[in-house]
Amino acid sequence: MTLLCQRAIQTFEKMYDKSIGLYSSSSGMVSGKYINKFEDQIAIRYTINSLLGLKVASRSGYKLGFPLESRIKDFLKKYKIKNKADVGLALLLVADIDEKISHNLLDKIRDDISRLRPSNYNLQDYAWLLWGVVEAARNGYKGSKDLARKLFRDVHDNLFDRDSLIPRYSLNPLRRRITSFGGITYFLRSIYEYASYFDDEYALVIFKESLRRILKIQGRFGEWPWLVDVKTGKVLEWYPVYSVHQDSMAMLFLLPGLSLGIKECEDSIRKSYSWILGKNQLGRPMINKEPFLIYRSIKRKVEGGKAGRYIRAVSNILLKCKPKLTNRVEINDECRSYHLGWILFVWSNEDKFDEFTNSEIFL
Amino acid sequence: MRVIILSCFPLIDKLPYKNKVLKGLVERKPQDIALLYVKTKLLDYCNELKGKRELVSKLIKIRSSSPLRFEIKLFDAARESGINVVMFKNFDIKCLRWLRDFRPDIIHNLTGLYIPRAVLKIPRYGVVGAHYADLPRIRGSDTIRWSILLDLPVVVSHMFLLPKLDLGDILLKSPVEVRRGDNIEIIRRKCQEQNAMGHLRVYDMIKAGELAPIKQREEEGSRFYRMGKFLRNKVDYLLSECQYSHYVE
Repeated sequence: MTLLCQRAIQTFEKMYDKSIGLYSSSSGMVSGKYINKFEDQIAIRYTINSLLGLKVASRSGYKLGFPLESRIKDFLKKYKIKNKADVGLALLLVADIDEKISHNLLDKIRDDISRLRPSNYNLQDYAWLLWGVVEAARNGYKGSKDLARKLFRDVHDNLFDRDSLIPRYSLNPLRRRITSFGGITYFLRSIYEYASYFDDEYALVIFKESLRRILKIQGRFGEWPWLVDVKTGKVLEWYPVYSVHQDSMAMLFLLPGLSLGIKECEDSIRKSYSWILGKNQLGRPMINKEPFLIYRSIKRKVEGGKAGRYIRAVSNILLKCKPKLTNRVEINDECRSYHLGWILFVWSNEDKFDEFTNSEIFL
Repeated sequence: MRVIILSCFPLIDKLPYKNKVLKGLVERKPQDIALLYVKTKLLDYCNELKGKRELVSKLIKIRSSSPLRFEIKLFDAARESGINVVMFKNFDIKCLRWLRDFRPDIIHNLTGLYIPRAVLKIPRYGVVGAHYADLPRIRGSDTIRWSILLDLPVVVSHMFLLPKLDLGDILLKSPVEVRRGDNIEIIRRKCQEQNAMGHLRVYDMIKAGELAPIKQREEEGSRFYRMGKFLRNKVDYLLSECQYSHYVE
């Protein structure tokens, strides 16, 4: 039992609204109290993520204080999961809990795939679908093996750049060269799951070699960039640097990498979470102890929104510039429930890296 | 035995290993032997070279500097040996009719082409093809490079082809001797040598009734895809730095 996971479980309950059965899409603090927002579609996605983390924690022996399986079933009965990626993640959540819901999700995936073109799917869609379907195959759902093989071929043939070993985010010509770190993490994890389940040596070598490539983009403070050039594998834009990438999402591929014997992963993991504990460019921990909150990111003071980031990324491609860390940054002090979900997902079963998971900061 | 050698692109069909297969089979004096060409139209050459800039530049280099330009084309060698050379655009009805009339016992496939089911069904024993890696473990493309990257011995496997790629019954496995200083081209040529010898051994084994095909199961191996630039460079680097565990001393 680690302090980090216990803190995450306690905090989760403050981000949950029983009346609507959702975890918050964004939480902040006003006068020492949590203020939660529930934006519909985002809250649904974050609730799947949160329940997934709680499931892994519960299976690892953490006491949650409420009946998790009925909360999961109630949520999936109350809300119709429409988003393609969310369907995959929901399948990952429920494959070993409820057969009927899982069959419905698998039917929806099959129906979508037969109807839609590859250009309708982005990297996150494919990655979560593949991950969920592999989990269904593990649980013996009929037809899920073939479906997983098809999804692997689809993501590989359509979005994986074999020349650079970096996956594209989408087939949209305007985004062909710009991919996000989040997409890369999910891609790597899904490929790893596929390789492990099918004992597929090709998928495994792709996982290992892409991972080695990604390790090279980690910054000097251990930060992971937001946007990456698919063609060259170089950083296009550092900001925002997200805490969730640092302490949990990067672990989705780093911990499996370490278990496969890629030694460089260990140093990368330490640098990655040390960023949260204060070894970042601001020299400040990204954690508020009481009430407990992990700040979302370090972002540019003048950001210009999503468009601003992409303009910066495109100009870096055109001018062949190497983006640098800047001093004109600030902390985004909101916290999102899915962040705690990924923390529980990756750390509940992990007994290494005690310096992080049992750090005094979580007392 | 009635034998067909299957090849393609006759105008540039000069690889020495193919001549070895032809010569070796002629020496074995089968009852009847023919050289069958497909992909004979100019358009086929254009399609083959489309998007293969590297291959085009390699061909230009070969033509200008390599001793290969002194090699005799396979069909010239076949004609010199008195072998019937037949050409078809592709595996169309005419081609299939000719094949059925020939009633081959065995077809030696020296192309990298996909052989359709209708052709596979014709010979008495089957269509023999080579694959430059250890089957069933490594299937697919760029298999020499993948073997080097995975630090596995380079092997040439011969099999009876099936409609599903690289899933046919395994007939023979021949190790390839990789020496320090060999680059990918040299290793490929060594694989071609083993390919030729393997075809002749398979012929001999069939004739002697010693063939013992081993079935493959799909889940036993993995399909590898064309290797991209980054990993190709890595493989070239591994070979140039002799970072490979299976050198023959």
